[in-house]
Amino acid sequence: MTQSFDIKEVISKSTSDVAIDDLAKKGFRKVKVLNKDAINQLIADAVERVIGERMKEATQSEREQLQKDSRAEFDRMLRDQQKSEALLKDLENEFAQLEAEATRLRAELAQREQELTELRNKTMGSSDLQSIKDSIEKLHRRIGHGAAAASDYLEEGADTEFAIRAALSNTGDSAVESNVNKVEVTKKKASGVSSTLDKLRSLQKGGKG
Amino acid sequence: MKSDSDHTETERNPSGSTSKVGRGNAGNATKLALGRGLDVGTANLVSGAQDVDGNVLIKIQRNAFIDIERDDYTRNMLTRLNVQYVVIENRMVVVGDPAFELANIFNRETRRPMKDGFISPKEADAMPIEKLLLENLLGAPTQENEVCYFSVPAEPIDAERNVVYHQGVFAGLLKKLGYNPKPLVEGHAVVFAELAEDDFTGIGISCGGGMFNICVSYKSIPALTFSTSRAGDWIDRNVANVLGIKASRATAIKEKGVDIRKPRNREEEAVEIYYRNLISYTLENIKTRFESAEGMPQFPEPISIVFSGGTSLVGGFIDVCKDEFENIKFPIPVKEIRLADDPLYSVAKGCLVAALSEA
Repeated sequence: MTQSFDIKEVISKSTSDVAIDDLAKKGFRKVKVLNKDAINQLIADAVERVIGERMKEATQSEREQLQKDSRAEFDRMLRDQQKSEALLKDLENEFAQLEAEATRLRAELAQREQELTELRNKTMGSSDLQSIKDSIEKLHRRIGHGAAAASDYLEEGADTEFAIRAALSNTGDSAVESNVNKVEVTKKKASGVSSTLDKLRSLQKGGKG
Repeated sequence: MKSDSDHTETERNPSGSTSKVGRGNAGNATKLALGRGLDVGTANLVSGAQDVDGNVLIKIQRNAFIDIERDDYTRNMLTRLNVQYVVIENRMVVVGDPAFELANIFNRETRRPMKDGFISPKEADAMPIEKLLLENLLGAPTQENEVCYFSVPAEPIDAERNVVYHQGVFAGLLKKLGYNPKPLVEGHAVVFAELAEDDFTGIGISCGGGMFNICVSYKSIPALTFSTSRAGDWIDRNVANVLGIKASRATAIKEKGVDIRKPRNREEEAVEIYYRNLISYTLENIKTRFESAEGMPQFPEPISIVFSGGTSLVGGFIDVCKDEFENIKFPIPVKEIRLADDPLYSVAKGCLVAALSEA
């Protein structure tokens, strides 16, 4: 119902530009100048006057209708304003909630990334990778037999026979450089065991030792 | 049994071929009776054989080794100095007593093929060295599959150990040398060696480096055998800890002639304290086992307790044993507590007796 009234645009559309020289040729020596505010004021006064005139002429019912329309328009505008404010508030709340959610999600993401990094390190860097290396080394040891393989078997609680075989597989049978057999070891003579042996044999035969 | 005079000691080189004695350690050919005894100890390896004249011949090697720099000069010097070495994977390893002496000179620890009475599975060089030492001590058998009794620990009561593995490994090594290996529980070997006068009845205790082995025997039959994991090395470790020295150094202090009844300085006092604790611990364990074991024989007469082994060689050992024995209420009458005739060779002799009795 109400429309904005752009004075400048109305003037611009309803007038034409004339050069000063042309005016002079036509015999005009002086022009009056009105600024935009003065025009606005003139229009507002004119409208006021027209409405005043009309209201004088309007019937009681027309006045009431105009008041009613004005109030309705006012109420509508008020509701629009309230709606806009409520909508703005809702949007602000929603934005705040979304911001909070975003913050929470960012924190969660950081946490997950940290966990992922740790998991990657854990998986590929330390225990699992180490355990793979250990098992490979263990297999190497087992293939090579020897004391290390024997130790592995014993630690795993495997059949002791495997451990014994592994240990005995590395007794340096092939070409060990040594002078052990060239050097005299400590030799002693101990008291004899003949009488002990006789007593034991006697006991084994069922007699007194 | 075959005649003792039928057998001459021959020795076999590592390749397996048999030859008449020609190696430095063998000396002149000696006629030996069939059957060998071997004490497989944590601290020492001891072999026993009997010649045809009834003499018991003992060979002993410290069961230890140490790595040193390898070069030609060292190699030549070691041979000149009668020091045994082995080259393993380009490393020169000195074995036996010299390893122990070098460890003390250089303030290092010896490496040990055995730990706490058992072959050490984690010691990578243990097997080739043990094989060489055994070969050196026993030589080749007089005849293929000659019986060799070797000592094994009884089940320990205060530690988890794999006796089967230990026994299997040494049986395997002896088989490789051509013997017919037979295990004998260490305490039982002491009974065979030391309790003949008592009809092989009584308690034999082997006090070794890694363990104390105990056997209660009735007429040569073991009624109760067990071992404890506190022994000579336990003393050395604890003395070394309190004095802030290497265990090899503590061993040297212990072996240089300490009398644990009369300690003369702080070092000897430390040795005395741990000896007393060890003896008390062992006697208490024997008492407890006696009281809890089923099927223990009722000895008609008081019995003897015989101690043997390198750890029993310290001065005043038996007196301290008697002192500590007085402090406990032993469940059976004991007539005598004594040291073995040959404490260091007792187990080897007991194994020898067992082997000779089968020949």
